[in-house]
Amino acid sequence: MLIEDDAHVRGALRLALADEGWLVDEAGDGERGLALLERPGDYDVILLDLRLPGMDGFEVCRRIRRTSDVPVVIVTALQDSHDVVAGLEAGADDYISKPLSAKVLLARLRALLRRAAARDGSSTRPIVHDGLQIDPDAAVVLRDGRPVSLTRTELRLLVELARAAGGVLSREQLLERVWGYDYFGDSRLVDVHIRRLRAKVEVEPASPRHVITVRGMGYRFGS
Amino acid sequence: MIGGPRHLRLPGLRARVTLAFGLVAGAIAVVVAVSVWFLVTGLVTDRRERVTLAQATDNAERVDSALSAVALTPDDLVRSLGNATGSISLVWYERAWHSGDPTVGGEDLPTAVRNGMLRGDVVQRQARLDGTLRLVVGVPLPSVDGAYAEIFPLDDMERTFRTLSTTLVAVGVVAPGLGLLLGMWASRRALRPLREVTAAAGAVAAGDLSVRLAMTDDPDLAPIAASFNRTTAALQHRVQSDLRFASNVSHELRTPVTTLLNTVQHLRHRRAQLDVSGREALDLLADEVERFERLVDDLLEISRTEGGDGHLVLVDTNAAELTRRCLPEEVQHLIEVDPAASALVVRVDRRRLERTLANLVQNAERHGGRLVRVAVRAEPGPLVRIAVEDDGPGVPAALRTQVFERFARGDGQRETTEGVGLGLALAAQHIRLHRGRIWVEDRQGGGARFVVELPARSAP
Repeated sequence: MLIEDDAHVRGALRLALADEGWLVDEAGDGERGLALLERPGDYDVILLDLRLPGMDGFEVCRRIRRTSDVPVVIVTALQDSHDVVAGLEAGADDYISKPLSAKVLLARLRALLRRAAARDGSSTRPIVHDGLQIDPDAAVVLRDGRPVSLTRTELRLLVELARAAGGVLSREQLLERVWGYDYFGDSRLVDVHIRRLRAKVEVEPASPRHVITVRGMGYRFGS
Repeated sequence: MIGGPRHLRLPGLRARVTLAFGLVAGAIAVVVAVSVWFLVTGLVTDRRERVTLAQATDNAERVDSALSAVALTPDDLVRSLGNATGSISLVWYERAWHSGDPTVGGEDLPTAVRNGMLRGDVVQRQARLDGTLRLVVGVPLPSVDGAYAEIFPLDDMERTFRTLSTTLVAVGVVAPGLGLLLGMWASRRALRPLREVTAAAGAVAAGDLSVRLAMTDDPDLAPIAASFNRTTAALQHRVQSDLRFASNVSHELRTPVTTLLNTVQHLRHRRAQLDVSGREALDLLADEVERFERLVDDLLEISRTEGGDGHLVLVDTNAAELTRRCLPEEVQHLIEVDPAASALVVRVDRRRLERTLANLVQNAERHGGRLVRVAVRAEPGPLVRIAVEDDGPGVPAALRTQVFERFARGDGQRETTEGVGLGLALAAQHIRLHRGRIWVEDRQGGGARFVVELPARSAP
């Protein structure tokens, strides 16, 4: 689904994506996008412009997250702006900056889908650590026996950290394994997702026990 | 240089203030010294003359009465006179000189004194006898038809005056020196605010428009500081609104560019269905859209960086690896890496450096004929130098700074349909943010060599 207020951009992206075999539903504003989401059927990804008439992109993103774990890629005008961090905090999985061409967009979408496939394909035993149970195959995470609702990207990040079995993963390694960036990723993606992940899996996010920061190196799982 | 009459260069303000202080102090010292000299010597001499005159007159009276009484011979009389002041008495009596000191006779008296006293006048004169200054007083003795003279020593007074003059000359010499020192100190203090203004103006000239002078209560300085601050604030506002305008324009352009890019891509998929002229038109359109996209991108980035959003995302990176990664497949074989450079890391914003190198490579391919080499080398410092070389016409020495300015082009003969020069300006800006250097020089064997130099350190 493509939520974007400019009809020309929507039309052009739909045409270019259709050439690559994608089916695109268009929404001119956030309300229409949320309405589309309520209809039966599943979207692979939602492309969300942050500047929208009426309800802004951040709010749309937060509302999507209430009901769905579908990957959300935000479209921003500025790569360095605070919009990126704010959009990620609102629950987006990745961002792409304008002007976006279908070529670049498709590379990002393929990376998103590839990791979804990898998750489905590989079989991993459930991981248990200090009250936290992770079952990668079933995509279920339990904290003290209660299920925790994670987005696909958050789950992927947690599983990658847990699989490293206490080893430190650098931001670059995480960008590569979770987001599929080969080199020029933005480490803010990792930091914001770690923050979101802690808010969900840690009892006290301020003093984390599962997702630990290793200064100057990256992150690791466990004590 | 423009010819014309050469004017004598005025010394600097500080030198002038210092000199003025010196001159004034010197003048005051001279006036004071001269006044003191005349006042003191006048008073002392006058007093000495009155005392000696009184003593001589007194002695003369005693001589007069003694001679009248003829109680003593003139010689005994002369010897009997007190000489507590060290004076020597002489008496002219019965056509002969009678002296209290055998070494001094009447002929030693100054002529003016001798003639005056014999004529019947009281005479007082300074004279030099045997090389020492004396005061000679002559008093006539009309009742006995004689005269009395007394010679007083003045060497003590002369010594005093010499000491005084030495002291005054010393004051006259030292005072201007002190004046110069005082002038130097005072002018330095007085001009300190001017130095601050100079430093601030220099910073503005170097591009830092956020400098402000500290406000002061000094009524002489406050207007300067205020108007300087107003001027820089206005300038900063102007520059920022220009940048904002550029940023807004390029921002607004991003949406239509997105449409153009994707529409062109859609058309390209259908290229086979077009006839020859249709394909040619599509290719032109595609090229132009791509260039437009780059321009909008560069413009946005340049205005954003200059507008203060020069936020660097710094990561330790191997320069050689970064170079390999950010250049396209078809130029990989042109990259040469010095092994020493592989052992160094640079701390850079990868996206910006990638952009810089990509711009240099595009520039080489578009203006420089052909890219011939990308060399990554280590230099002492340690520094890493990445040189992008082409075999084109090179950049004339006169244009080597200019090419890094916005919308600058190479010489006029270059292809004008390609490359509006934002790429190099952006590269220069990015490298500046990294505290590195960028320049262009001649390549050995012809062509241009663009060099990026970045501070580095040994890999851990």
